[in-house]
Amino acid sequence: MIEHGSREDIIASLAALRAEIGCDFGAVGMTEAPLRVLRWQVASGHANERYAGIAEKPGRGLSATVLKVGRPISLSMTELVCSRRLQEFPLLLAEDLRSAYAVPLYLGTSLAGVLIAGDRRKRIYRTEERRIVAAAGDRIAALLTGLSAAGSMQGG
Amino acid sequence: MTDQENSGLSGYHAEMLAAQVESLLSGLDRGVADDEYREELRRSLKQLVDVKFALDESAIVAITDRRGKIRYVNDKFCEISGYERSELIGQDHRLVNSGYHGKSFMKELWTTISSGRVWRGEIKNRGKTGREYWVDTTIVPFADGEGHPYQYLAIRHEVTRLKETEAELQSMLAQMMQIQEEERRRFSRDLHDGIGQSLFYFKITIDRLLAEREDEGLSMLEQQVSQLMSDVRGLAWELRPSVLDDLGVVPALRTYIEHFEGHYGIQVRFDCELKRRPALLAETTIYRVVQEALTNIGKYAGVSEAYVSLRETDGLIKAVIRDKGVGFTRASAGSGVGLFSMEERARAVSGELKLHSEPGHGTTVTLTVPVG
Repeated sequence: MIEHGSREDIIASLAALRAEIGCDFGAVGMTEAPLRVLRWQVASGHANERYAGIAEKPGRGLSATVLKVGRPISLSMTELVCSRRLQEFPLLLAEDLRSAYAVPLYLGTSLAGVLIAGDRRKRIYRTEERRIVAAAGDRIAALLTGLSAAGSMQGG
Repeated sequence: MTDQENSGLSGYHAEMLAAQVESLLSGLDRGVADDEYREELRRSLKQLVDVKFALDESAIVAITDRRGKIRYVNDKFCEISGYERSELIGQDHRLVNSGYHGKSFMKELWTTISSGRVWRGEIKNRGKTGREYWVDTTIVPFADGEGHPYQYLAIRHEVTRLKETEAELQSMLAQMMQIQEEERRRFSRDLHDGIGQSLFYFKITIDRLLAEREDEGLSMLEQQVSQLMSDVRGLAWELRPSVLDDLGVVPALRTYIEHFEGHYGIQVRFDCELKRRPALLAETTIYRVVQEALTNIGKYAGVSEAYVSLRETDGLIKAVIRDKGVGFTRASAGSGVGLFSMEERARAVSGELKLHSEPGHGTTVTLTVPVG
């Protein structure tokens, strides 16, 4: 769970990312031990509160792609419909996103979560825009790392 | 008995479908003075003869009066029903009634045609020998000057083979779904009891080793095995939850709904008043239909709340799955097999599936199945 102070910082980072590449939606998801469930902790530009209730199981969707191989992924709803995998991406359904770009978040060397940027229209994210999302991912990961370091100093 | 011998009736039926055209044609030269007019008339009458010939060649034709008494049948009608013409004329269609269609079906037919509208549909009839046959039927009312039908022209085509194929296809589909369900049950059991158990022993072994000495690599292995066990259990559950066989549809649905809520972030109000367990096939149908309907809600409805209710009244179980989302029309629903498979599943257990949806006003799926 992300604490209040850093939550504000992450929301600000997401808002800045949305302004920079002009996308509709941004969210940060973290995997939770012991079952590696992916939950969306913070969102910006969301249309409803469904994201907060979503708990994605491992082995599907983003867990099976970004979180498994530690690489970014581009998603398009049309492709997911064709490959019959749309139901593996509940966040896209909840927010009615047609396109999305997701990057992994590393805490130190371990994969801890996902940053996703999405749009409610068809969009292809250009190289420059992908780089901006990756940079935002690094900034947010740094915020999270600082937080967990602070947390461990306080004894968890 | 030939038509001539049966002159009283054949005389009657001859009036019915342009049978006087021949004599009119031969009398044209005498009857009509205007050359141009006569030629036009001759051509029109000739066309009428040709159209009648074509109709008789292609279709089963009958004419009844407004009370439903048969006044004319063509050869094809006699051929398919196995009756002589004389046995048919003057009778009503109850003679070939197979008893397959209910009262409300016949009532709807008569209400339609007696109010002057064309009726179309498929009817199962029974011939003289007892052979049953399906006919695709169009009944056209002929109205008098005041718009009241005075007779009805019925044009039919035999579609027995089509109907038989349709029935075979349906029973194949039902069988296929049954086989799929059995396969899923088997795979689920094998995963759970086979690989699941092996992994469990594996984990116990690692735990024993860990109890003897601490080892970082070994405890990582232990975590990975635990994860694998949970994945295998999840897979088995998704294929077919064993709880559906062991404890019934209600506990199975409760767990399914819990997972659904977590996966899609949609709250489901589950309202259940079942007092006893339905038959196993009915339970499977209820489970799969609720699953399919909720998945559709998760994918398309655009809501954060959904409603599921299970009730039993008069030996029937009614499952209702409802949302207040975007709704759809059948035309816009696309080519998904979901709706089709829900209907087929319902039919396979003598149940019924109703779907009500309006764009902007949500969707309601109602499944009714017999308890027993």
